[in-house]
Amino acid sequence: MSATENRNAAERAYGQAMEIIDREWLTVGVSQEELAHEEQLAEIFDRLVGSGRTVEDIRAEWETKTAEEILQEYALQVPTRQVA
Amino acid sequence: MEFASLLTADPNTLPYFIIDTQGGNVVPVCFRPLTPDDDAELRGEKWSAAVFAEVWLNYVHIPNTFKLVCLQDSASDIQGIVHVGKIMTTSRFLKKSLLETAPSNQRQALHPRYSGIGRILIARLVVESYLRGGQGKIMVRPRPGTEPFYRAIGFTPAPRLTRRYLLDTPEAEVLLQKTLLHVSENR
Repeated sequence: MSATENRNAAERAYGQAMEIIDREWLTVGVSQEELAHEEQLAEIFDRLVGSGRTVEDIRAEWETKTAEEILQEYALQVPTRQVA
Repeated sequence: MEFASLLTADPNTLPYFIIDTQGGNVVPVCFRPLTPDDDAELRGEKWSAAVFAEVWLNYVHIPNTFKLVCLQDSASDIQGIVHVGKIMTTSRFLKKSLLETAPSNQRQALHPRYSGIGRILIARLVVESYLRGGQGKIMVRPRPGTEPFYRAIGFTPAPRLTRRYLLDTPEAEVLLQKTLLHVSENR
C-alpha cells in the first residue's frame, strides 16, 4: 500500500473504533449532541495549544463557559478560506 | 539504562515488563508488528471477544500497529495491541492511537494471567510521541469505565472535554521512569 493508502486505511479503522466508543457512551447516557460538541471542542483545543496557549490557560478560560458559549466564541474566529 | 537512552533506542526492544498474576513475577515482553499472519489468532477464542476485534482485523495491514508478546511464550500469544496514531501538526499531541489488552487479561476477566499490559501499551505511545516530536504528550479518548486507569497513570481530563484525557510531558516522563527504568533497575 502507498503512504496515502495507509493513511486512509488508518483513518477508516480509527473511525470504526470511534463509532464503537461513541455507541458505548450513548449507552451510558451521553447524548449525540454532547459527543458532537466534544469533537468540535477538541479541534478548537488543538488549535489553541498549537498557537502557544497552555493546557492550564485554556482550562482556566473554559472553566466558566458552557460548551455552546465556547463553540460560538471560537466559531467566529475561524479564518475564512481565501479564494485566489 | 538512562532516560535519554530510552528515546534513542529501538522502541521494539526497550525493557518492557508485565506481571504474572499467579506468582507475582516480572515477565519480559516485547513489541512486534501486527501483520496479516496474526489474522487467525485475532479471529480465535482469545481475541474474538475483544471490543475492537473487528477493527484489529483491519489494522493488520496498517503500519505502526504492534502486538505485545511475552519473550518466553509462543510469539503468537498476543497480550495486547496498540496502533500508534499521529502527532497533531498544531498541538503536537499524539492522537488517534488505539490500544486494547487481550480480553483474558482485562480486569473484569475471571482469572487474568498478566497485569500491567495497559500501562506498557501507553508507555509505547509515550516513547513514540517523543520520537515523533510530541515531547511525550498524548491525547486519548477512553471507553466508559476506563477513566480510572488513565487517571492512575497520570492522565487528566482535557479542559471542558470530559471524555478526552491528556498526558503532558512531565507526567509522560514519570510514566516512563516508573514503567521502564524502575522495573529494569530492580530486576
